[in-house]
Parts: sequence; structure tokens; C-alpha cells
Amino acid sequence: MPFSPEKFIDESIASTKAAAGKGKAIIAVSGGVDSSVAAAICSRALGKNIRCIFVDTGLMRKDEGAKVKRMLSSAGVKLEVVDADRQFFSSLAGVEEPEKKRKIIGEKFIRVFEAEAKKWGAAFLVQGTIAPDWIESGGGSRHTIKSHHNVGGLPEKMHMKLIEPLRELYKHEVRSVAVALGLPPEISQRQPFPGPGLAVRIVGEITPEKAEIVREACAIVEEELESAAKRKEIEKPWQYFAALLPTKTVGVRGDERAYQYTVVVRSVRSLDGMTANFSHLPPELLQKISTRITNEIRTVGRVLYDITNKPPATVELE
Amino acid sequence: MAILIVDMGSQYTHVIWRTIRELGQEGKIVPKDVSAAELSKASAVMLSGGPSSVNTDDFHSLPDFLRSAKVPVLGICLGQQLIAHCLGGKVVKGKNAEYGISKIEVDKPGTMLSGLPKSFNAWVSHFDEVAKMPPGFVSLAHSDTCKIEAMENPQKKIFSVQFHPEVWHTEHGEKIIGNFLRQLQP
Repeated sequence: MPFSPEKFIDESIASTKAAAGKGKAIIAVSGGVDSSVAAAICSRALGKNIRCIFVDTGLMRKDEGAKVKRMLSSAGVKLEVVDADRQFFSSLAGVEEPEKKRKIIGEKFIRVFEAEAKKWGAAFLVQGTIAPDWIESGGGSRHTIKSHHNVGGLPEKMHMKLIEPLRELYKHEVRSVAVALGLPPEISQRQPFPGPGLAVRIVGEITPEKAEIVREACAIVEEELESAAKRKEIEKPWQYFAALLPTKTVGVRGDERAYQYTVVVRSVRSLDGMTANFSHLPPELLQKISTRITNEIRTVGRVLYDITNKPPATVELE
Repeated sequence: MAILIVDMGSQYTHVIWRTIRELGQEGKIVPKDVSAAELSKASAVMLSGGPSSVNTDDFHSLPDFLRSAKVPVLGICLGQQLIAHCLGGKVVKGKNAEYGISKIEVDKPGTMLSGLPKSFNAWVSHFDEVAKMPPGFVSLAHSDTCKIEAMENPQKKIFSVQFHPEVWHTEHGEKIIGNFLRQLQP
């Protein structure tokens, strides 16, 4: 039986109603398709008893808060934005180890949501967790590949009960639910974005300066690949972004020696994120991306293209 | 009666469950310390891959179950290695590891690879491999780095593959799992 989004919507509205009863819930919305779908389902299930919250961690994509608010309002979901960038940057200062970064972010998210829940008397937290999140977070005989912030990154002590309507689904199934719910294509077809945000695209220590570099570089990669896909020069990749390495390399700019950051461009094909292969992008397009990144971001001196599949790599770098 | 999927720690155990559901059958994921009694009540048993080694780890009742299995069994990756190890074959560390894409050359379609082209791309993720098959098994396919990519004992209805037919990147993967599901009693 192929997956039926309509049947899934009916069942998950009923089970969410049963789980929350007459209680209030807040939902953590990141702007990705998973949390947007969870928000739409829970809005139908819980009506006035739900608030949708977007946390600006300082590690989001360019203009993300405003963009997500606009996209979701067209789908009838009212979004509140909470600014928490200072809290996130200060708790991440000096931390280099990727699993530690993910755990700090997971905990910070929960604390922000708990503070919001307390103000409103909400007992439940809804998350858009999908199957690969808990699979990769480990458990039983399964190794931890990475602790997804919404599963392995959760603190041990939490004051809210979790509701996760999409736990058994994969990305392509979530997209079909999004279409069946009537969400606009800019949400249903949106590329995946990691929960910890740009934090996992900055290898090593996170600083506001590095976040700014990777944010700009991601915006350039998105712009170029999306417009190439629109011109039908390439098939739209499953996920595409830039990441920043902690290494500087030597270059020459206007006859002067330069010693600057290295950016990695990654673009992959996948269905469900469980396996992936790097996109075979045309060299002209890669050249355009590298020229734009090094010209528009003056602190970047070198651009690499990641040619590793998953396995053995993962899609994101950390 | 459901198909039991034994989770030996694979990243893809839940993907196996999803693939079976897409093919119209009901699967249930069980931990690797499941009892032999529960396994023998299943309509079929699938053994997932996993990060451990058959030569050093504990597989609880699975060896006993495999030695006297009366229901169809499909072993994937570590699952293939466990079948080889328990039924009298030999598993060793390969000369080279295989991760990502691998070209599978079909030597003999048998039951599992029937209806597939002579060669196809599959996704692999392993270091250990089967060096010697158990008695009664025939090898169906190989790759440049791995001699036994698929093997089967059709009389006993025990089948196995070293690559991952459940993932999207493996060409004809659903067909292979479909070939296995056809072995179930109607």
C-alpha cells in the first residue's frame, strides 16, 4: 500500500486530540516542512489551545524569521518569533565538539520553550520529529550518528510532555502530507534545514562572525542552485548549502597575500535523507558560486565542493 | 502473522519496515534479543544490518533460530554475515571496506535476483564480508570489492544480500524485497 497522506492526516488529528485532551500546547516551528506540517495538523486538532513559536537562535538562514512568518500566515498559521540569539551564542562560546554543540542547542531550545509555556500554562510541546531524527540519534543497538536536537539533544529533565505526530514518517511522505494539507509549494518543497541551524555548518567553534559568513554563503548557494533549477539546467537537489571549515588557507588578492576562511559547498540527491549522493553540478555553475562567494564575502579565500556520498559521509558536516 | 524485522542496530531498520509497508505487507520491528519462540511464529523474518561483528558479538537466540528456521529468512548486510556465520560458513574482515555506491554483477539470478539486469548499482556500507558460504548455499552476485554480494539456499528459503536493497539509492531494491515476499505462504 502506498502511503496515504489523507488517511495519515485523519489519524494524526485524532491521536493528537487524544494525547492533549483539553490541555494547551506550544509547537516548535523552524520553518522547515516537518514542523510546518506538524503545526498545521495540530492547529486543526487543538484549535485555540495551540501557539506556534519560532525561536531565532542567531543561527538561522538569511531573513528566515520574516520569511517563515509570511509563508505560514498564507497557510493560516499564526507564528510568534522569540529572539534568543544572545543566549545561544553565549552558551556555545568556546565549544568545538559537534555532539556537545548539538546537546547545548537542544537544551537551550527546551528552556526557551519552557519559559514560553509557563507564561501561557501549556503542558505539551509539539515537535516535527521524523523517523531519521530518532534513527540517527541512536538507541538500543543502534549507534549515535548525530544527536538530533529534538531527540538526542533533549535534556533529561523536561517540564513538558512531547507530542510528535510525524515520528514514523520520512521527508518525502511529509511533503505529500503538506500538499494534502494545502500548504504552499514554498513550504512543501522546501529543502531540509537542520534543527540546530547553521551551528552544524560551522565546523569547530561558533562565533557571530562565522555565523554571518556561513549565512551569506548559504544564501548564495541557494540563490544560484534554485535559479539554475528554475532554468532547468539542473534537477533541483534534495539539499544544498555552504559550510565553513575552521581552517584558513593562503590566497592572493589584488597582488597581496591573503590568509582567509575556507567554505565547503555541498549539494546532494536523496529521497529520504537516509542515503544520499553528491549532485553532479555543471562546472560553470560551480565556478559561478565560488566566484560569488569569494567576491561577496571578503573573508573567504577558497571554496571546495564536497564530492562524498552518504554513506560514508552524512549530508551535513557535523 | 506479521513479518518480523530484527533490529541489529542498522540505520535502515525502519526503512525496511517502510518498504514492506509500501509493498502491502505488515512488518514489526523487534530487538535482537527476541526469543526463538516468537521468531518461529512469524510469517517471515528479516535480519537488518548493524554496526557489530558476528565474530565478537552476542546474538542471543538468533543462531538457534537460524539453524532450525521453518519460515523464510532474508538477511541484509550484517544479517547475511550472521547467516553465514551460524550455518557453517565464514566471515572475515574484507581487504577493502565498501561504503556508498557499488556495482553489483549478477552471476546467477536465483530466486532473489530474478528479473534484475545483469549489473546494477547498489548502496553498501560494510567492512566484514562472507569469505565462505555455508553448505547448501549458492552465490548469486559479486562486486569488485566483495566476492559474495548475494547468496541463497532456496530449499530452506534462506536468502541474503550484502548490499542494502531497502534504500532508495539501490536500483531495483524493491524488486529484490518483492522477490523475497513472494516466498511467504499465501
